[in-house]
Amino acid sequence: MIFAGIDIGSSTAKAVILRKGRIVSTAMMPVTMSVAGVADDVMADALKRAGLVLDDLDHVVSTGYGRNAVSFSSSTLSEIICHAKGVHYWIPQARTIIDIGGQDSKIIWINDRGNVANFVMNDKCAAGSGRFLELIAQSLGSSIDQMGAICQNSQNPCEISSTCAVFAESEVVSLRAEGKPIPDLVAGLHRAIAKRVTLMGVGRGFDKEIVFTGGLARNFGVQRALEEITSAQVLIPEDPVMTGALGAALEARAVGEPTAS
Amino acid sequence: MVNDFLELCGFEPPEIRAQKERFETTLEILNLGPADIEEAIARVNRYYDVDLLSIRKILGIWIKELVDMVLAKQENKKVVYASMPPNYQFVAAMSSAADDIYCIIPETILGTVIGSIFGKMTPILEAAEGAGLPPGNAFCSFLQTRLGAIKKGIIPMPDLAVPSCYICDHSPKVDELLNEIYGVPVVYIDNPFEERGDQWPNVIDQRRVKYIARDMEVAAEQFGDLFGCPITESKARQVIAEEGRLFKAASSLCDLLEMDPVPIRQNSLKIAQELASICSRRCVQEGPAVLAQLRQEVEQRAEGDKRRLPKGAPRIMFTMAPFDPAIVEMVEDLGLAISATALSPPAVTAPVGQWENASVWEEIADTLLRRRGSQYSSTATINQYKGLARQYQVDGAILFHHIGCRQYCNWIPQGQVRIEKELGIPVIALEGDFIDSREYSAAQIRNRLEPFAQMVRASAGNKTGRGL
Repeated sequence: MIFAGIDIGSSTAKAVILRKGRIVSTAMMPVTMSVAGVADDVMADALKRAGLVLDDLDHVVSTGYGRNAVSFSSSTLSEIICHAKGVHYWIPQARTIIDIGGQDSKIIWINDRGNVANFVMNDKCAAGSGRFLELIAQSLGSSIDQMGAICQNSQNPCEISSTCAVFAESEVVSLRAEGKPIPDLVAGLHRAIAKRVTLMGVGRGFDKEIVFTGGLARNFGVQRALEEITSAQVLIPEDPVMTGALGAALEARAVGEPTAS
Repeated sequence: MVNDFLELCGFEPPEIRAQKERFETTLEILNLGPADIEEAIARVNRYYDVDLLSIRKILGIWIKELVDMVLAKQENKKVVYASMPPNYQFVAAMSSAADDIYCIIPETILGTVIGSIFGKMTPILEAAEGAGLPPGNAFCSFLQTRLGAIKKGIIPMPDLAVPSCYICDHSPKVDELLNEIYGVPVVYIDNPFEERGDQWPNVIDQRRVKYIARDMEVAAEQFGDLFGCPITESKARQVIAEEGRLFKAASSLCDLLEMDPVPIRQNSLKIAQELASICSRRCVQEGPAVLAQLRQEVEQRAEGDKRRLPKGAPRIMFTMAPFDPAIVEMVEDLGLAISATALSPPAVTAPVGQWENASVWEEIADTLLRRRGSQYSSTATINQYKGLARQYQVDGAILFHHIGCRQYCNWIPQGQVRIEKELGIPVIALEGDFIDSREYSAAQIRNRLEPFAQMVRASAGNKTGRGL
């Protein structure tokens, strides 16, 4: 049987197709104003890569903020549940997940079966989100993809005191005017994001290992900042942006093939 | 259309004929048209157990209160506004002081009728913001509605405002504005902080009792001077007994939540139990009978087939259900039975002999402070909810975080951790707003509730050996 998961986030749409419990294809594209259209396109791309058509799918679970706009989904689920399942598939020993997406961030604690044991989430403030870093990258004349590499040359990371994306941008401009080197500014920003996100977990604590997912997990600087702040080893799954879609596909399989899951 | 709506709200044909003109005048003042009535009919059918005649009659009481409130001045009443949290018996005493006095807590009526039933709160909140009360977590939206509704000409300017500042500083702030801008006389019923909050409600700080009693006595004197109808001790004692019957009838409905499956939807139970916080003469008189009818109908129904959730559904505590009925509906749609709320705890009765030498005001104050929601202390609030979670053996808890409420800002983070650790159940702090739907999105709330429901099912399963 063939199952699919589709994750329509605020920035990107992702799709994963599973056959016999194995990933046969994935696809990702930016989200536009036509959410339903993007959902169709990203799934069409994933299906094409797998040599399949939509009718071949036995069950599709959609997740993410745009999940209700997916016309072909069989059911919907919160991305918190899906991230947990996706991470558990790749890193079964994982118990704590930090996910930083385009416009939200969350910490999820999971059990030994990949079910959510607890979670905290920030989807009300851009601080600690991918969008925060993206905005500031633009003001530095750079791009979010380059930020990880830039910070590796930092000698003395700046302290970014603002937790608001808008005010942090003006703080960065003023620090730049003082002559602070860009690598130090970028490293400071990474620390600011890591601090903002990990603050949500204060009181519950972190395990020795944390799995880091979402778009920012590809950024070495944020990964290192998380390690410094939590004193934990930060693990990155095989494809950290696909965990939500993968979890959705696994949940689709759990419905369609309950004995196999 | 209007007839359909009134019929849905339990009005009998003669009552429709008698009330229709008043209702239509009210709709005109509220600027509600046929499309709004159509929407209200859809919402009532969607969110409330209208197959129960008592629920329809309860909806009818709320509608009649709205009409009474909106038309009070036109109908030559002297208008007094009390405030939330209610000083129940004192409000009821003012309501019963004379036939031409209309005393009400307007926020409760506006929240339930304009908010829950019509879904039209935003223009009122915007009017309050325009009049100087800030939005978001800077000020309680629930308490904004009084000023907003006055500003929009929906409810009449009061002749007297009696805010209960014994727990909340936002309620007197609104009346302070009414006083400063419009010259409305205000009598404050204030209170000191409690010193023994950790022992509430079994130990009541008698210093608080005497302080509130003294303030009520002063308020009663000023009320008498202003309207020429003093609230006498004997009249107050009579009202205490009548109000006590209403409060008892509302509190006793909590027994229904111990049934499995829970036989009534939380939105329906909320409008029934909240009748006790209206404290108007109509509610005090009509409330006990309709609540008794509700109990009877629900008990009969529990034996029948009309069950919303299956037997054995995980049970949760939902501290304060907001006025937006869609949120409670969302929780129940996820298969969670709400079996404890802030309205669940019965009042702790005073020890025998407590009031032997007490004045009527001390008796009212002592009764008030033993009721839910009258405590200042975060420890007391956390203990109250821990006790409820234990009593109703819930599998999880939603602490609804009304972001504009200072009292709720204090205890929720600590309460979440303590209930979770000490009771071993999942607890979620659900940020939102009692009344202002601009402060949250359904998608954000659903995102939190879905994994929470999964955690609760696991918690319930662990108890029965069926853990996820």
